[in-house]
Amino acid sequence: MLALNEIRHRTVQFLLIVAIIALIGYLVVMISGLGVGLQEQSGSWVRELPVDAVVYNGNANYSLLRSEISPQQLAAVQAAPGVRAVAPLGFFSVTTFRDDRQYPATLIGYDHGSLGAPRIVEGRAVAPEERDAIVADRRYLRRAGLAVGDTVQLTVRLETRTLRITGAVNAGNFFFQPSLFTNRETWQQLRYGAEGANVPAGNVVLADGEVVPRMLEDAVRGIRALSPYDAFFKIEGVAAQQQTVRSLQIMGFVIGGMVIGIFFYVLTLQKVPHIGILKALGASGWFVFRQLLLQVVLLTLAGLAVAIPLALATAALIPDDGVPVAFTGATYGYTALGLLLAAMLGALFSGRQVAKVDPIIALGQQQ
Amino acid sequence: MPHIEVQDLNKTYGDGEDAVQAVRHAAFVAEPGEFLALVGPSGSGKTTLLAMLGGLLTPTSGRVLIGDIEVHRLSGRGLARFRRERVGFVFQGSNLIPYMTARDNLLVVAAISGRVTNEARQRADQLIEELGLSRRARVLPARLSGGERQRVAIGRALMNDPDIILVDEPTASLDTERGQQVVEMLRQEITSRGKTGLMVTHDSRMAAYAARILAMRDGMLTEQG
Repeated sequence: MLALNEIRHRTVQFLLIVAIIALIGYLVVMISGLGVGLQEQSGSWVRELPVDAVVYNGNANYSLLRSEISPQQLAAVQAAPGVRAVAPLGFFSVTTFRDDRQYPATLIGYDHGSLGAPRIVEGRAVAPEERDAIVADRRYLRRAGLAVGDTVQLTVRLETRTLRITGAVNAGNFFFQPSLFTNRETWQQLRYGAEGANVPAGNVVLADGEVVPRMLEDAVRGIRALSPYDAFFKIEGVAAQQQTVRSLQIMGFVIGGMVIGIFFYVLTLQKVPHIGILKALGASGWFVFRQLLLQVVLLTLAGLAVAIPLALATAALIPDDGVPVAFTGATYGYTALGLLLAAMLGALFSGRQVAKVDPIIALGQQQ
Repeated sequence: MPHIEVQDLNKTYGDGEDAVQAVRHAAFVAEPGEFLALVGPSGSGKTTLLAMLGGLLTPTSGRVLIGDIEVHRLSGRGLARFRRERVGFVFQGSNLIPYMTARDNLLVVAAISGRVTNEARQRADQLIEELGLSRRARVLPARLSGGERQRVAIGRALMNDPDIILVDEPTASLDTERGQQVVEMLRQEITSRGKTGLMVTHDSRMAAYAARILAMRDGMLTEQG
């Protein structure tokens, strides 16, 4: 009752606080969105792979790009206990071009119908025996102004080859580049100039069944295995990137909590005479602090209600190939919760002040 | 049982050579329905005595009994509860909460006690009517006159149906006529409801409304006959 009454009658002050909370909330939501955006750019689809383990060469320091799996290792993983299905994947960073325009991309070689196969949203997948055909990410097509059925070229090993686009996928990015998919034989040809048993079977192997990465490492010599979740954070730069984003977020929360805390502290100092009266009338310090806490929660929620649509609008204005910003429900959830918590911690400054007010000041003070 | 019983009450501020004895050996008894005035020059210890009666200040020695409660045996929380349930305060210059309407200033008392029930709302509306504030119930204190504000303060003091009502210089910011109206209203409310009222004032014209007058000088309490 007191909390709401005060908000209603001191609209200007409280709107000011809401505005400040909204700005801080906007900053923190944008930073969180940047974090998600960066993850998507780095290849967050790796994290979502529906497999038990990502298997690397044991000497590759868990690098998706630097690992190479031999045909023998592939066979050994396939034969390991608990493994029901395997899917070798090859990666190749390429620059595709058409006329004089260039479009960098990551070419991913996979086996038709395997666990590593992307879901086709337009056109058709590359057939097992079909050479020099690709399925392209939609964003790549949009940016390059290409459509299913068109061709692009790339030069590898001093040789220019023409690739036909047979379909489109929504695969997301990998290493900040859009993904192109082809069959593994084409990938081997492009990357190693040969196919078959004398070149690597892939960079990594996905393994599924009843596989525990650690046990797979024990069963097959010379490999390392991780869960898809861990594999994602082992991608070069991802961990550092996410730590940076997390630090920015935490700083946002800390600064937000302090600003809100200081604001309420000043308000509380102004209200000391009223707090004295309430206490003289028999209010406990907890009662007074509860009103303050309720105000902090309400105003923070109001601030977030402004900040989140604002962040959404900003993200919509940013061009597709600009700053990577993306939002998920969790982004809002964590941000809102974090800021709320920070604000309540900030309110504790004022809690001390409230506790210190002696009700005797109600006597002998004139308004 | 008397509502107020004060036994050999002392209050000393500071210690050593700087010690000031604000109240010395004060003692008196007040029955239900009695309205007392406490007069004396400023600095004589009136407000200190009032604060000790209301559980806002701890005496150096002596006892204060309000009904069957020995006030200064209560803990901090117990004191807050004692003020909430047994005491009604009317402060100098009314001291209403500025961002709440007259009616809400009465309901604050209920909010402090836990919840604003329908019963509390009815009681607030009834008090507002009795105090002649029906048309001013939804007005903020800043737009009330001094006399109206002090009437709201009287209503607030009666909200929790207390045993004792402690009044601190109620007419300090009022002219004589308005002051007299307010004090007369206080007297009526206190005596007709069987409360015990103690009013601190330095204005002997206001003290004249009280049935008994206690005088303080340099911390010493005497009753004027």
